[in-house]
Amino acid sequence: MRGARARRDDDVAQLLGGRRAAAVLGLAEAALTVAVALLLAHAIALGVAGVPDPGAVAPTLAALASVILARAATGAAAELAGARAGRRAVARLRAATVDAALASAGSGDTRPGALAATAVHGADAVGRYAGRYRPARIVGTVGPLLALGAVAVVDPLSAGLLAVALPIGIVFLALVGLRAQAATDERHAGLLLLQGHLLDVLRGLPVLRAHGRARFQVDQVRAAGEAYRSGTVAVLREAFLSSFVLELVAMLGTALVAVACGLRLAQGAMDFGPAIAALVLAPEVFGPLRRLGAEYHAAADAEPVLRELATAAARPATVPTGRGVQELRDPGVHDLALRAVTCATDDRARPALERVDLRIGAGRTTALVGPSGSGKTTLLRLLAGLRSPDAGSVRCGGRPIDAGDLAAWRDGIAWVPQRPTLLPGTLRDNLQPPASRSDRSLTGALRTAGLGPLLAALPAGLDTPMGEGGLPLSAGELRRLAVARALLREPRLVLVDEPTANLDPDAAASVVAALDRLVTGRTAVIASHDPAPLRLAHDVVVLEAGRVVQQRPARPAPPAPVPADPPVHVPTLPATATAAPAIRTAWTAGPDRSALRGSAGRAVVALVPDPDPKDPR
Amino acid sequence: MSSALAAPVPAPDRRPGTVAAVRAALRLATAVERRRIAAAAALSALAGLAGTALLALSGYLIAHAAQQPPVLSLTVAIVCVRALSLVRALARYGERLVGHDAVLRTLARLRGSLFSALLPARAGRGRDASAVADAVVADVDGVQDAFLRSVAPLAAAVLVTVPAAVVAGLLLPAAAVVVLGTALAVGVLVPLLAQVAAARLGEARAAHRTAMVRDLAATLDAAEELVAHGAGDGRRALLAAEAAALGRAEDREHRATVLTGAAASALAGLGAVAMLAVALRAVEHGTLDPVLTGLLALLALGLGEVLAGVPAAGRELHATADAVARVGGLLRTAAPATDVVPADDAIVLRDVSIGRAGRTILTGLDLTIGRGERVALLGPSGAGKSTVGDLLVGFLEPEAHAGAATVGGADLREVDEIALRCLVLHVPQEPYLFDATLRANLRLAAPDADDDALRAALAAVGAGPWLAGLRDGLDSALGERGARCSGGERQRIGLARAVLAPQRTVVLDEPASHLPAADAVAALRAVLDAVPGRGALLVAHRVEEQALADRAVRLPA
Repeated sequence: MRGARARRDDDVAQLLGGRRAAAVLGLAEAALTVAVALLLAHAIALGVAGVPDPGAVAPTLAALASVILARAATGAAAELAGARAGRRAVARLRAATVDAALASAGSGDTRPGALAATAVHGADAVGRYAGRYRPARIVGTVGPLLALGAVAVVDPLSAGLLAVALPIGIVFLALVGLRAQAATDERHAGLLLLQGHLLDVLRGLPVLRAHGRARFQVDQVRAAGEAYRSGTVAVLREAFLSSFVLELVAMLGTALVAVACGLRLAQGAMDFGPAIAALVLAPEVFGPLRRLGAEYHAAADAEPVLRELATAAARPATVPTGRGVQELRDPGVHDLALRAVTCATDDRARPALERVDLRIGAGRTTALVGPSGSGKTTLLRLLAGLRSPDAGSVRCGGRPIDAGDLAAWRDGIAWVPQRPTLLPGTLRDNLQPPASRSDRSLTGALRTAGLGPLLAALPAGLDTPMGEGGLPLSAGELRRLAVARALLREPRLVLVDEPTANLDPDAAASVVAALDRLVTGRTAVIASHDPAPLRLAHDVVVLEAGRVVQQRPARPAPPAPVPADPPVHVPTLPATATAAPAIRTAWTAGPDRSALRGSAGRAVVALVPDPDPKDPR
Repeated sequence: MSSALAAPVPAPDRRPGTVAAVRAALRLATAVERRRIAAAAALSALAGLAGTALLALSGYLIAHAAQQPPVLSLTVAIVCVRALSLVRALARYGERLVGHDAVLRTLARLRGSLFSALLPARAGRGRDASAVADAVVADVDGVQDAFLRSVAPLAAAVLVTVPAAVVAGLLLPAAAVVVLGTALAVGVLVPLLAQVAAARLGEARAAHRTAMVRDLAATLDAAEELVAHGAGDGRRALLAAEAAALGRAEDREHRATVLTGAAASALAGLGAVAMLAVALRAVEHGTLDPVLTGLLALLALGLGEVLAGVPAAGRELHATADAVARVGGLLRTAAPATDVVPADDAIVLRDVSIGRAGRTILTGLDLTIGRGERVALLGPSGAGKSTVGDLLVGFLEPEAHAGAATVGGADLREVDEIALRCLVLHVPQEPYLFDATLRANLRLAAPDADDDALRAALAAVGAGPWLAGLRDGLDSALGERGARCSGGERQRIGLARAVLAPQRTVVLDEPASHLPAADAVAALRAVLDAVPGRGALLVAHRVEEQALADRAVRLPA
């Protein structure tokens, strides 16, 4: 226990830095406290002597006043500098957490909201640790010894009495520490449960109300709070007991000194000066220990914050940067290929992809089909250069992409994720426009993605705030926004992950219509277990349990790829809504889907992928 | 009926004074709880008094002993000194224990009352409900701090200052002036000055923090997209700039806090110096027994320790004042019960307008659903189909100015909502799942249902194979917000609840949209057949689902 605490304190000290400044300030505060006590005793002695000499009074009081001011200033300086260092340490860990999250993007599941809250509000706990607990610990080590030394000089007998009481006090301080830790841990866990319960029933209130079960929950909420109270108070009764004994030892130690000095004074065996000095100094022998005990919870609160952030900041990087030794080919004109690619996963026995060989034609749209968990998203991540295969290679025009600069590779792709994220900011911010894009091209992209009517209804236009509390978007609109984002990148390779999952047929149809305009004339890969987006595909790759089980041309194939300029300014369909019922009917009517396209005549070409003439193989 | 929760009660513009803030906090407690809090404050005062008296008395003891009186005359002082040490330690222990017990008792009751006050409010769904829930939970914590860290210490400071001033005044009138002057400076002046700065700086810091948490969470959430689009560096730079601004705001606020504390402890110390100056002067002029010098000086010192905590307590009080005001406001907005009860489940909407958050969504709506009739509601996305559903179960109110909206003859603006929901059940697209077992999540629809009934309901909506695959069966924990269930599984649980529930009419708001078409139709049929003659308003996209209705009504775009 002790060892773990010492190790933690060392780690934190390293993180905070400024150890020497903290030690100097702590020592100064302890010394000034002793000086205050001695000057105070001296002033009292002047009065008790009965005939205060005005010449001696003024300088004593002036010195006392300045020492008191100096002590307040020292304490403030230690707390300011310490807390600042603590908050800066949290800020550094926060930045490192962001770096680690970006460098390991897509691997593992995190709770971003909770982590962000810790990384920001945790600064308070760490600031208290560095600004209050750490100085208190230094003063708690030095202060009692300094005060005891001063008592020894003025009155050795009192020092002897205190020297017996002090170790008892220290033992109980240690108990305060252990008990406080246990109490804090238990309280914290209980409180989280309690808050979680209240949060849960409040969030689910509509359901409870709908089923007429809300009244019943009132008693449940009360009972949970009551159970927490009785549990916590039982723990606190013990936890406060050790600080009670510490306080008792300190008080009795002081009283003992007062009585011992009083009796000797009465017998004429002692002068008043040393006696009052010993009396005023005696509480200062225990004071630092009591203050340290009171600050102990600061240490206990800071520890989980630092542990959580350090863990988040130390996440291993998984996003490759590439070796940068070779110029990369353009995926818009060169075929992509996977060669014997295997990718492991952390949490499943079987690899996400196992010895996958695959060719993806340039300028064509390839659909990745298969049940969830079959490896579709992993394959998209490989193509995006967001992760490296554990074996095999991903190539473009015959060259392994990780031989080039993967950051430059990613500049040429557009990623439309299953759950696009809205960043807090305006609609313009959320289009993440590459520099020097005019508002006209932004509105053009929004219209092409089928968001023209939405934009027209916004009085603030591109400056409309989005994200929490801002403009609410439906799931379909969000995905079409991601399509507009992708259009603006003028990508050489488009990667789309489950574009229609969890959408109703109307919304799915409008997303597919927007995607149609994005992928036409480009190299594109669309992963989907829903059949709706398949009508865009020239080729279909069926994945099952990490293996390619089938690779075939789409039947019937869509219009041949027309190598054309990126269709950013393609006019919008007159009304997405009118197209929707037709699509629904077509899907539910049967396998004949030619009606969907209304251009079956063009769908003759490109049943077989063209060999890429520029591919050196 | 109240709509307090659509927007949480705003904090008052003008900050209340200290006394008003204490009173507002105490109003949240019942009489019994106030007595408990008062006991904690009294114990805190007793500890402060005992500590101050201990110091003063030992000063007197030493000075008196120096005059070498008979030892017997010292005994009283010696016994008092020892007794006071014990009293102080015991009072401190008691204060902490009684204080925590009292506050936790009050909070346990408050949570229940708050929850109860929120029941009738027409809160929105989904994200709205979530935001309100987060705010309420945070405010309850604020109330705890208000009691524990501010009301009790403030009361103790007053209770120690008054007797200290009386004792000092009896010995030397000027000493009482010093005591009161110190109390005024440390306990009133410093907190007042600090409060002006603290409120502004505290708000600035809070605003920076909220923005930082929001942007940080969004960045962590969107990490993959940002990297894929090479936007990571830009995001990093944005966060770094925000962090720098936050750091400055934090530094400013903390500086004000620390300087306030330092000023308080320096002024308390200077109070002791002033006391010494007054006492020494009086001794010089022969108006004070020299023996009492030590008593007065140490009295001032002891009092200073108690007073030095006042600015922090005052800061805490004002920092929590908004939370206290919001909680108090919520408790007062409990909606009055009405006795307007629907006679049956016949629904008539004539020329009704409905708004959400101040915006009109639907106007001129006409819809009649007879007893046991099943009506499909059609219309493009955004036409307001869900809005109509929310209206029928009282989640929304019709706008006042026009039309008539009745269920069983009872006006929807006045109807008793509990009675309404006994008749009409809302089955949402995304049912909320509680962090509890599957059994508990189902039984909230039918508290008396046995396990066989629950299994039958799950089987009826096609979740039989899923249940069979669960290791713990009905005892399976579903996780926070049902995190362990897929979208389709959630919907099946929501549909199973509707099978179990007794309501005569159901509002089906796309509750089967994530299920394959054949499963969706079977599950919806099971819901409709669960109660003989069950009426329904059905919102669904698939033609097969719509076919379950007797007729269809189309909303204009």
